[in-house]
Amino acid sequence: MTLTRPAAPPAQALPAQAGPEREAAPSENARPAYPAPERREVPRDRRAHEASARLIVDRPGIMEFEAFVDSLDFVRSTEHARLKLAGGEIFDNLIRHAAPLADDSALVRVVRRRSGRDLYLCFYFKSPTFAPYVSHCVDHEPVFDRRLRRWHGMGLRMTRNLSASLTFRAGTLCDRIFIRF
Amino acid sequence: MTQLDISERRDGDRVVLAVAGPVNSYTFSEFQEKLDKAMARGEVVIEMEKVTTLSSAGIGVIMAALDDAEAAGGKLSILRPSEIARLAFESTGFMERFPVFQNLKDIP
Repeated sequence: MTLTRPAAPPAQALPAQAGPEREAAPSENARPAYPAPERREVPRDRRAHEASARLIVDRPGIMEFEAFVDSLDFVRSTEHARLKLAGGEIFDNLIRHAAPLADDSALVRVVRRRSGRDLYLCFYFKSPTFAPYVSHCVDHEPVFDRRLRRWHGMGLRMTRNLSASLTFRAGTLCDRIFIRF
Repeated sequence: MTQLDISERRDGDRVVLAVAGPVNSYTFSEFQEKLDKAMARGEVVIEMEKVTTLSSAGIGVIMAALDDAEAAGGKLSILRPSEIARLAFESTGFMERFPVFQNLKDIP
């Protein structure tokens, strides 16, 4: 996918494998909003299909994310909907909680395993604020804010209900969010 | 890039808002503005068969409008949600809170 806005560097600029890990500190007596990863990223030789795009993380970028998902020809129609809804919520989360992002952008990657079963949506980005946000973010029932007329926590609930797993991994080179469908 | 398109028509005393395209955090304020204006004029039906995505921000707009309608003795219904809109409603875990209908004549 081609970016029309100039600020974003090419996709290769961000490594797929980060360096030493640091775990997000869990809050007491609460399930973390983004649990620690249960499994490693799918090894390259076990991937059947893969597509990636570097997208500027801002409100218009959501439209570009949706266009990227629509362009994936190895994704089934039922999966398109899940990718778009769950990924859109994560993208929105990055807009609101990950600024300032390195290069104002994130690398978005969709991978299908060679087995054909599991589909992964991954976000790679570098943010000084997102890991601290996640470490203080607890999994609570969605709360509707009547003044702002929007939900707090609903995007996370929707993402969980639409996916098989959702994990966050903070890293020194980049932070990563994995959604498995 | 697909944009949000909202058109309006009358069905008796009802205002039918036909929504097409994405209702996400980029477009939800336009959706909210048009829905609020329609709600001020009475009963509203949101036709969603051409909605291409529905985010929590869009669902928040609908929830707020449902609350407002309830409080003011008004009415808001959802007509023919697209597959992705239905999936979005279901993923909230509150599907039963959304008055969804497949035909205009089924709306009481």
